[in-house]
Amino acid sequence: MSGLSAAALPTEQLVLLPLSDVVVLELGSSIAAAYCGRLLAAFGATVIKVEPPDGDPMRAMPPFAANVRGPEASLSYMYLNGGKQGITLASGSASGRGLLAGLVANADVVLDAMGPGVLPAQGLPFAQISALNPATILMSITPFGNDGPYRDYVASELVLLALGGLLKLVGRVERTPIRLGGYQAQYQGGLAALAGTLAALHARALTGRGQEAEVAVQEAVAFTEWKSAIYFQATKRLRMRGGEQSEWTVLPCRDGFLGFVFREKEWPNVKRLIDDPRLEDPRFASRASRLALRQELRGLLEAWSMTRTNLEAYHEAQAAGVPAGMVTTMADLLESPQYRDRAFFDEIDHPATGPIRSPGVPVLLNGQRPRAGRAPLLAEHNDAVYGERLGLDSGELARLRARRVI
Amino acid sequence: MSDPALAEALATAANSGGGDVRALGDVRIADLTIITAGASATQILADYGADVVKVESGAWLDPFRTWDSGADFMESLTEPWNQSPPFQCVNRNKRSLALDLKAVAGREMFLRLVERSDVVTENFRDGVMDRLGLGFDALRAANPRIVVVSLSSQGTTGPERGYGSFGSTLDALSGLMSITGYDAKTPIWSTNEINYPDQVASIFGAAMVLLGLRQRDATGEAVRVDVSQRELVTSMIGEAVLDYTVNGHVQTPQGNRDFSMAPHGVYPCRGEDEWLTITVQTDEQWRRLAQLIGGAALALDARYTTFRARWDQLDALDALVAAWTAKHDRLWLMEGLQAEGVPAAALLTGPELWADANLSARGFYTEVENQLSGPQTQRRWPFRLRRTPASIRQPAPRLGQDTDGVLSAVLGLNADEIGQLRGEGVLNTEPGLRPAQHPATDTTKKVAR
Repeated sequence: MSGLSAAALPTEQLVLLPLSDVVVLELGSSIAAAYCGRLLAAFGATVIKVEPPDGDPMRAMPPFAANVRGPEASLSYMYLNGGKQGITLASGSASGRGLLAGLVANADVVLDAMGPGVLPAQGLPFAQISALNPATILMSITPFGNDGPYRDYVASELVLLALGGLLKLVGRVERTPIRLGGYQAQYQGGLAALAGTLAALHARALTGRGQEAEVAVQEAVAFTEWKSAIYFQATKRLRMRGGEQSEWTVLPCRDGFLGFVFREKEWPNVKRLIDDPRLEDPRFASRASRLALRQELRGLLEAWSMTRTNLEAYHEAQAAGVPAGMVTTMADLLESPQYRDRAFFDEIDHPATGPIRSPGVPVLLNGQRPRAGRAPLLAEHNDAVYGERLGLDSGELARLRARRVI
Repeated sequence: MSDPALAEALATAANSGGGDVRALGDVRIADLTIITAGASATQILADYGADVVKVESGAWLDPFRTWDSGADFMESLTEPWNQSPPFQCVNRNKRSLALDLKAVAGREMFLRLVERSDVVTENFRDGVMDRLGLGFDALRAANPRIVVVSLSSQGTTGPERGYGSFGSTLDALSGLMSITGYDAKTPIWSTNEINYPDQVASIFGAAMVLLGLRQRDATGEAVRVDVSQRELVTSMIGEAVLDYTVNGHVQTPQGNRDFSMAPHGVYPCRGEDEWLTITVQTDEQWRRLAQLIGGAALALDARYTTFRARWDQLDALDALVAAWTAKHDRLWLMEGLQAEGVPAAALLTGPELWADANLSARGFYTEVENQLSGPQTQRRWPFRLRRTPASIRQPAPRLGQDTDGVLSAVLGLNADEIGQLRGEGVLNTEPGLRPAQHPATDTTKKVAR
């Protein structure tokens, strides 16, 4: 457990958050939908996450607090559901359907990640949702869209990276393509759903009506990987993984690595930074020859980098006008003066972990950072949501609980 | 009607019995964004109907107009700054207003535009807006309800706010690179070929413009939106961060492996540099895969029937799978495995995405007729709205093509006033393309992409 220092822990809070009048219902188990919901919650929305009675499958997703599995131990669940209310519902059951319809009718936004056709099969095609509440926005989030030949394909992070073009383009050219770390494809889908939800809310203010919206994660990834195709059209040359066509290189330092980048106009800065007379060799004078001699050049750069920590090398390079970036580890992030100065990390107090730090939302509004709270425990808000939003009394709640509807 | 977007818009309008309502039709953006992170953000908003007025000038170009594309073909073009392939892809549906912001009259005109706009967007390096006399206070003085959105490398505050970055250096600084790679000694970044955070920043940036507008509408006051791209990427690896803050475990690159799935990797296929990913999530999926690889004998082979057993001999397992995939075509494998419910996919290149069955069927790509350079196949949008769809109404603008229209219709200038500005060189649209003297050269050094 990393300790919490007293330095720069967030105490400020925006008096008014931009989505404080918005109620979001999140259905299904999806990293993309969960990330979108988490951001909406931090921006002030009331986000109600609906889980099956035995919990969102994401509660079984590693890593786990203290490396022990348990319904409240998944750190993935804990991060992606911060700030939400959690309720349980067997939405496929007959009584469950009625509750689901009530919840949907009370929502401004439904984030639907249950999969193509599932919500209509539970009696809630969009036409029905619209009849219940014309202002409701239905944002469907699926791997491949609700139509199209891959509609029923089984997805995974690597499958989505592959079919969006990002997997083949990362790694060394002579080796196997390599995934971006974590779940970048699915997080990208979450960002697309965030933008789409906010655009639909804006349109609703103009028209007074909700509508159907859709994100296919494959498309979000293909949106991201746009450059290869554009350059291929222009030059008929295919981009290859490895980045061997530029001077970019990853340098080893005493304790880690430094991402080292420079272009033609930064070359004088590089020479000033490295301060090695061998760089004055006329063979290094042109970009073309530097590229041809990249291994030799790299050796000279390594002689510099290996005598420093990557933190020292990063700041020295930036001071010299070379836009390098250190390969920052998870531990380094917590020590970053930049992150500390901007109070980037949220302080979360979760019963399963005690107080911990968690990445905040990556934006300041008028100098203040919106904060999400902790993730809900399983069924934590059943009474509040079903009682206060749907008006069920304690007897009805007890009956639903006994029948495993909630 | 070759544009499917337009066709979709018209069909939707007909179905809803109403006109073509644009989701963001009431929003005007005074747009200073450049390159990818910024320009692609405002393009998303323009596609959904925002009036995006892109402000540049001959003295001060979006560097994407003259980007080094790795080829010399730009030099052979007339007005190459109006034909740049990446520029055209992220600036459609925008208007171009030529204004030299370093000239007193140019700055004055920009502030008049701000007065008549809802949003100012920029992705310069820290300090550029202040040096132009266009800091938040100046913009708010011009329009007390303005939303000002900065998409910078590390934010507009903090000790590293002025540090330069080039896309992938943010892969490194965000922590993503420390968990991407073949092993702990081989961290990998997305490189210049992708510049990963630029693109995700553009989607988040579009969202943050809309969030700022909502905040303005709620408070009636100006809003300053300060996005840090470095923070954005860290927020996209939250579970790895918590593994450290909760467990003290510093994650390192694990190749393509996953701690709860096996096999889980990228395997070679027939052909040169052709690959398939297979990610077996359950023992049943393994049984189906094994049946295809080695029939019932392998499917029932007790050495592999459980995840734990497969995990314990991962190298042997991967070799067995790779020996099989290497004999076959990647698309054939994908279809066959998906038909059996096994998560598998062919690794596609950018140009291969155009022909992908799903993206084609859903019309993700469309051809846009650029003014000088002709047709270009472009991606459409990262999300869809059925009643208020996006549309492509015009290609990326030639430098300054809408100057007179914006000055007269939006800013209310008459022909004499426009003529005077032009005479003073404030509306210059002729770039001096000599890099050593070109002011845009300074700009590229200072921007966060």
